[in-house]
Amino acid sequence: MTLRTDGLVVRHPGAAAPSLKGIDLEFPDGSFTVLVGPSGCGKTTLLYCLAGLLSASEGRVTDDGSVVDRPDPRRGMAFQRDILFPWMSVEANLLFALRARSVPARERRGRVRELLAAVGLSEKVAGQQPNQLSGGMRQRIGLARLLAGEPEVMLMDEPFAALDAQTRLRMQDLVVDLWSNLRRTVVFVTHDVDEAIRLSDRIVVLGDGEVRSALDNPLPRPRPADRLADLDGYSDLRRRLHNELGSEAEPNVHPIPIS
Amino acid sequence: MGGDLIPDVSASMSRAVAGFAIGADAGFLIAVLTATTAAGRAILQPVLRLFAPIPTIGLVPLAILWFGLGEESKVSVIALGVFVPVWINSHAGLSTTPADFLQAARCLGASRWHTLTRIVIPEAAPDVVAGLRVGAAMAFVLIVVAEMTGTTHGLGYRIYQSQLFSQADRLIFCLVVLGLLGAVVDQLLARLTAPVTRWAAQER
Repeated sequence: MTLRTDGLVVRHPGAAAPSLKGIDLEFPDGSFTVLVGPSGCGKTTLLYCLAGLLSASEGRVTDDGSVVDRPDPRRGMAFQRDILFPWMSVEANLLFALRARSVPARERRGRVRELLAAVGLSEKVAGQQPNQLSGGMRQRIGLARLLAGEPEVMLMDEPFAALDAQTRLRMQDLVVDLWSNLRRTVVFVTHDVDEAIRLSDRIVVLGDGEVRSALDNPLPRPRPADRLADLDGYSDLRRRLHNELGSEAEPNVHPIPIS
Repeated sequence: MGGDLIPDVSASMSRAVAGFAIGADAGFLIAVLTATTAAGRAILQPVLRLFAPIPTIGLVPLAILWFGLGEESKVSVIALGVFVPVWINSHAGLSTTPADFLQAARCLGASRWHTLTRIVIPEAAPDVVAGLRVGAAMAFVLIVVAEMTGTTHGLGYRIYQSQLFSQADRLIFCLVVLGLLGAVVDQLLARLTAPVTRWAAQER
């Protein structure tokens, strides 16, 4: 059930250079891969190809041997914005996903309760509208809706970029918990180096539409946020990532001089 | 005219309601076709684009030629006048569903029908309602025109009678009644449709 890309090239119409220039990657079952790279390097394009939302100009994406040419709930996607449907209550958002997968009507209510519990929310939020909720809550519900599709692969496109630092760390914990409980394959896009180090088994650095390197993450789990820097191998991995990424992904490296 | 008011109002309102119901249903259904199907976009839309700018008032004589002086011609003129704004607004709403909503629905495995009924139509509801409200206002304009001939009841008929007999007070009274009815109907529509438009007001 391995997800893989072979010689994946994507050209956007009208663009001079391809967005992806021949990507060969394998995402083994149950692995947690984080894609990092500067803006415009093709991370999101690659993720959309894995989802089946974008098609390959050359090469291909295969999921368990069959070519990916359209989206499928087997490969659940979490977007940069949470994209909850604002005209539906929280419960209706989850029911939408369950119905799309043809879960029998009598099982749906129970599944909604389970899904909310899985992302650490009480049943009380079921009747609320998405715009009554905080950003963190909305992302939790977005995750619950993704889980409603019972995905084998979870594709996540910088889902926590818009959240405050504390909420973000809690959401990272939640994703790691879900991943270790459910043993799904995760492909997670971020441009936060610490987020990449905290979450991943393997970090793939993309640059200019190509894979620059794939680094295995040797840090032991669990990886508490406040002691991340004390874990064996942290500084070494971080240094290697910085070298791969150059200065553009980490503005802190070159603070703006105060004149 | 005290005794005439109720029959006049009910005659006009029943024509307006019948015309509105036909025009609004047709406008919405055609909009679903023109906004969401390739055939609708390719065939129906250009035809309707040409047809929409024709002033409905100009169609009154044609309606009389085709449908005679009876109720059909009055109702069909009102229906046509309601159809155009409902179709145009609904089409605008239905054809501009944000791509990320559609992508999210596709990733969850939703069928086309499920996506249309749960995503595309609810997302367009505020535009559809805007079209319905313009259509309702249009229905009141067209009542007056449609009741010019071929009837002995209705506010439009009463307005022409008042003009004929130089009864400005009666004429103004009828206009005030039309204005009040229009305002009440608009508010009623806004309240009835509030459950499907509330989300958009809260998003802003």
